[in-house]
Amino acid sequence: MFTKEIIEDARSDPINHFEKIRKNIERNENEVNSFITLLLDEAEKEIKQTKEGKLAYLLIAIKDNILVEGIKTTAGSKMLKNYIAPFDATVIKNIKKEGGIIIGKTNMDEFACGSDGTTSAFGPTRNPLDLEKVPGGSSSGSAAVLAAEFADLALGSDTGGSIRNPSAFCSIFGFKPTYGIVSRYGLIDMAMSLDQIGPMAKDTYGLALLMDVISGKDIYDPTTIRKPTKSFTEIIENFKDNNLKGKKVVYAREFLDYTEDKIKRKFFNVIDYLNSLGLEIIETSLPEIEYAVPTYYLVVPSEFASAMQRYDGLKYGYRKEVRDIWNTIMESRKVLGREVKRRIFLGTFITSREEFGKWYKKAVLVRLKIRKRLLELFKKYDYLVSPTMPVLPWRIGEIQDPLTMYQMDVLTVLANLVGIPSGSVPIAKSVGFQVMGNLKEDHKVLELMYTVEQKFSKFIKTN
Amino acid sequence: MKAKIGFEIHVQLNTKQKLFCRCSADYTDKDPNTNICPICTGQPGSKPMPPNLEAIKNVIKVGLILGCKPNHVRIYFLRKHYFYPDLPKNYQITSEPLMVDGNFFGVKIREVHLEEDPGRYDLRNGYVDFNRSGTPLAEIVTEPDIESPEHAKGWLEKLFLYLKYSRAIRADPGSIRVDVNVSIEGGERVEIKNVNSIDGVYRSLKYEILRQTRMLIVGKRIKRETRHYDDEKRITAPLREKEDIADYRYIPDPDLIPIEISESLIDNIKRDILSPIEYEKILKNKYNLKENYIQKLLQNPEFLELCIYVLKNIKKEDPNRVAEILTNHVWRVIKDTNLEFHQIKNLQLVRNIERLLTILNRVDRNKLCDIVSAMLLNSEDPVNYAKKKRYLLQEVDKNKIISIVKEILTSETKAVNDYLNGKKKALSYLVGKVMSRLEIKPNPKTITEIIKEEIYRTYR
Ligand SMILES: [Zn+2]
Repeated sequence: MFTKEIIEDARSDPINHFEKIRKNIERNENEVNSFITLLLDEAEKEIKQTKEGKLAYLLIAIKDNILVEGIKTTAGSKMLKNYIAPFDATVIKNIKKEGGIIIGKTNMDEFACGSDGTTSAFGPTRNPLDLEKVPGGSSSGSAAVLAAEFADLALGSDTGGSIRNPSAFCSIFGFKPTYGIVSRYGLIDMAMSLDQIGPMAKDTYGLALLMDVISGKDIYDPTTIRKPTKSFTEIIENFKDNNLKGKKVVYAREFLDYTEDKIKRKFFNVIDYLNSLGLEIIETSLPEIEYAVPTYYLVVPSEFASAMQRYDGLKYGYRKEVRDIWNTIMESRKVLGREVKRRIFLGTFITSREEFGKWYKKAVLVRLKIRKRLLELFKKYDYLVSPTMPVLPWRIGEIQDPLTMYQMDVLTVLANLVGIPSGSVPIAKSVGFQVMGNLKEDHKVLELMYTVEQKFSKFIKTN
Repeated sequence: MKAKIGFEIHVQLNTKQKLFCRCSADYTDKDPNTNICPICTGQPGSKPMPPNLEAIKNVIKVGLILGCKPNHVRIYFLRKHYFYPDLPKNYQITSEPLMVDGNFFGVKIREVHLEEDPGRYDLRNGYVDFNRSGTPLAEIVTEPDIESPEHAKGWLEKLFLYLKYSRAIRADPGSIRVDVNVSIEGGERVEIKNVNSIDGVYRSLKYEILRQTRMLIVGKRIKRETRHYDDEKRITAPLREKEDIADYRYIPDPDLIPIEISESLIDNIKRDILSPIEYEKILKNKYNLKENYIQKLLQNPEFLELCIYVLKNIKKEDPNRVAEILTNHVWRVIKDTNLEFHQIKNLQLVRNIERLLTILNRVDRNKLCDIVSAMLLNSEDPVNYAKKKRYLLQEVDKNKIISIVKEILTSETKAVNDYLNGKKKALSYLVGKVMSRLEIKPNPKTITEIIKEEIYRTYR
């Protein structure tokens, strides 16, 4: 069912709608493992009350690094296994205000450090389209719940592809907004200059609907900016295909060097179609992409190590008390997972006095260069497109080597390094088409996604 | 032994709210951990709110008082990382230098910046109270221009007097935290962390300079190190090595956008702030005051402001004569009574000083304080009061004095001869004789002059 039908269904008979979802969850969640905390009882109570607003009676799954007051928020880590959030994230406040009902907190890579869901302390999430395969990550659960019909809409967070990657692998829609358009207040940090909360849905309309609710300037997050449009849904509803005639779509040939042939073919199907609609297609070269992943994996651990300092076992979270405070801190932090520790070590090293100039400073400079290059590109072209992921979902546990895993982010990290909006549209089973646009042109990105959806996403309906 | 002493001084800025959240900045007299929120306790997912504008204005104020210039237009916030139980995020948000290159009473100021205060850790019981966490601090970094413990004490006292008067910082005691660095010739720089009072600074320096001097005398090397001061035992002792080699891993805080320090903001604050260094210029160039008056006026900012007010409003008077009254008599009366500067800062004071100056040549100098105190405390008019109290040396008929002098000189020939033979005492005797004949007593000097003149005319 697509979002408009879901809205119809939920409003006409909320309890029936909820029961259908509950049945799906009860039947399949054991296999998928998409939730860390399920809130069926709470949601049932809510559904019986009168709801008003854009999200009235819709069941929304929230990635478990976004705080919901009074509910456990673990960020997929044993460190926060019993942490009860003391306040609502700004996005949650807005969702509740618009009548949305939170159905559960979804599984994720520990502190969002991962690209396939396997670093979660609560076990890996499985891909509902193929249970042997990974669902992508780190917003693994949020993508899986939509593919498995466990929720109507979901929120994820995206630092280097964490929304788009699992959206592609689970054949759903995911969108990383322009940096600053959605408040991060209440999002557990990974890398603050890259993190962005974003919507995940079963179609572009669902993304637009959530964007209307969660975006906007927030006094609790100084990095937020005003949203570019009053209503994303209106833009999608008033949109006609030929609106994009003459728009310039560019792709970089280097993107395709990293991409599997099967995905390449699907990608060019879309390119041909867009061409047939009258959009201008341009191939270009972006040799900078070679530096995207290395730069990303220097910036991320630097900021991550800083963000993780607060987990010391003294105020909240896991605590292993030993003879003195310093050893208590060290012992408590041992509960963190391998990948999390790796990034803390790396980040601490990179930002240390001796290494700062060699690594951190350089990474920041390269990031600025990449940013400049891409923003120049958007002066000439409307869209930059690519496959979302260079490969198809792998088997759970298949990739162990961290460098191989990092390389999976090659097509998605650019958008975060530059701060531009980027979405993933499903164009075949576990294949996503990525659309990037200029800063604050989120609505334009959604328009192209919608265009692609009309032609290529029908297969989801037949699932 | 001449030492080189510099400071890093933490002062609590005077604001209603904390730096990055809306909690009250007044953390005193509250039960532990009742003045807190998710932000100032570093809950997962919390972010700093935009920095408190009041704190920014006050840190600029502090910089201006210290004669600093603004650094650049865009100021980034940095994260300073270290683990400590009172620091909820285990990093402290601190700004880049906001104000730089100042000078306060001859000590150069390197920079002033803004940072958040940690909570308070009760080491003995293992409790942490976050009520203070996130309140705004200014850190003032000086060059090592201070030369002795006495100099340090005097300078710091003046610093706090000025800062408190400006209301840029909190006035309550115990809000002083100083890191002291000190070196003597032939030794490396030693830092003494976290001294909590001006007297503590003085005593720690006394001890440390003595310690370093002794080391050199016995031929030991003074190594670069960080020590802490134990005010009970009155000694300094080395910190654990781990604390000594801290690497704070500064990075720009991605959660905060840089603040813009516009010229208009600085100008707005400047309007009611003048630094001693600028006051000095005004007193020197505009009023031509003598150096000793300038230095006296600068001792106390409130007094300084009062005097500037008087100087500005008084007309057709030599500013040095005004300054003489102010720095001597007015100052003494204020110090001896409970008068407050602002109670007397009005045009009445200006008028009274003007009137007092008109009789200054005729008044008994010893009674000036009494007149000024009557003027300040009981709103007496200085002229009328001096008349009433017969403090005025009245005008006398000079011819009458001369005739009396002539009479005395002819009858007291022995004394005159004595005087001519060089006996100085004879002159006083003659003056006394003349005085006793007069009902209205003139200044004895006047009589002396007349006698000398008459003797000279008669016996030359
Ligand atoms: Zn607070």
